Amino acid sequence: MTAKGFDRLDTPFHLAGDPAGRLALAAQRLPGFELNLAFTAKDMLECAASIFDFQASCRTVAEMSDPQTFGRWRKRNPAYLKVHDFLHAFFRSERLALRTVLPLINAAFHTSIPERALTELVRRVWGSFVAPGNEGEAFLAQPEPCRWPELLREWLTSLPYEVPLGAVPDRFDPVEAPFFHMDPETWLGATLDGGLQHPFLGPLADEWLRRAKDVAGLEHYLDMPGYVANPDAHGFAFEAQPQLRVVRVFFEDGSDKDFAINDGLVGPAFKDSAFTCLSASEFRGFVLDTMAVYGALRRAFGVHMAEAAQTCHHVSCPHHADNFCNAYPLIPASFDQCGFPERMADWIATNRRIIHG
Amino acid sequence: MADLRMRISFGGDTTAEMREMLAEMDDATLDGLDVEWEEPQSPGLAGEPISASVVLAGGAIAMAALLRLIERRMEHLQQREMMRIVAEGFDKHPELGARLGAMADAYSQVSISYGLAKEAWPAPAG
Repeated sequence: MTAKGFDRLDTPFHLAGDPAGRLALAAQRLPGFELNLAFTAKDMLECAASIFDFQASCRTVAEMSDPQTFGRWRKRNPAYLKVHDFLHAFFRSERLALRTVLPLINAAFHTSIPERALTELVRRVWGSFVAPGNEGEAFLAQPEPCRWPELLREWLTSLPYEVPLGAVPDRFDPVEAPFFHMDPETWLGATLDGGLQHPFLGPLADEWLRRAKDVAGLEHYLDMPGYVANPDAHGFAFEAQPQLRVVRVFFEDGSDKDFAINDGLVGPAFKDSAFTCLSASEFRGFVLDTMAVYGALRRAFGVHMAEAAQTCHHVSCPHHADNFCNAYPLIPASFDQCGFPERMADWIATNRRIIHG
Repeated sequence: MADLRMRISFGGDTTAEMREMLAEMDDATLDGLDVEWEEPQSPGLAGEPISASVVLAGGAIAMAALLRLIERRMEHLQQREMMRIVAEGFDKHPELGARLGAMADAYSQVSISYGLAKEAWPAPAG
């Protein structure tokens, strides 16, 4: 994926509304509205993560939709809540915002333009539960958990898409995409820019969707994590993170480039619990993998590297002149016993498998 | 009535230190405080929310409770970063102002100044 693809997450949108139910989305700030929100897809993701954390901190089901509990939590914890705060003002109900913001954001990401889908879905929530005369108050009198995920998935089928529901565009460009529905089952294994695996729709998503058919609570885990009682669902969700890591390398000329790194780089080592359980040989492998890849990358891109950086004295080795092994710490007695070429070949093959499925 | 205001920064330790401090505060006292976490200016940052400083506003009772927590923390804490406080409105509460001054005298790692808490210093880049 290119930096342009990742930068899509930072594309600003402007949401404008007023408590009378008017709601509009634009590229620029819209005059004449009481409520205005400048936001990005990343703000939506961060808000979802913050609400997820809040639900995880609650001790009872009632606390998860209780504004007072939430108010105390956000005083004690820094969080990204600008999307929630807009919904609070637009719905004129913090309780309704708390109950809906996480499934709303998740549902919006089932489309190619989540900011637009969020606007459409929020408008429907207002029309169904806030607008007078629709008996929304009677529905909201029910205690949580309500079936928000099912309702929002249903609404997702009726949004004004630019590609007919069920049809799939020839290719997916996150920046130029028309507005269309993205069913996870259909989009599993998708690639971006003709090569790299979609960051969220890879093998792990495939496994998640398969297991969600059998593991109670997993299907709606991301929408309502605090309400899930099944420990198996929590266990799987815990093991499943993190799915993607992104490294941004800054070059001396001021440019930068993003790299998506899958598990092939360091295996499970970034997960604390797994890291502490590594055997001595696994830890050794982790260090050698890391140093091999680090050296190869800095040689390839010429960053963080002195000209004299070279650990190996085997000048007759066919790889010596290329010096991709400049940080590899294990120098054998003979270069034909060196593990670096095989280690790099394995790492490349592993990542190629991950990228291409 | 929120006539007292403090902006507190522990530099890079702000999030961890203030989370711990506010976790010790009872709910009733916390309800009397307005708390505004201020993000560092780092566009594009994604991940665990971090804060460069926190602005706390509240009445004399809530602020006195906060000062007690800070004092207790100073007694036990070997924090790495300087604690910077900008205090606003304490001239109307000489008793609380005196406690703030005493704290600065007692602990070399505490820096206190007076002015508009919100505008005291630019949020540092993250």
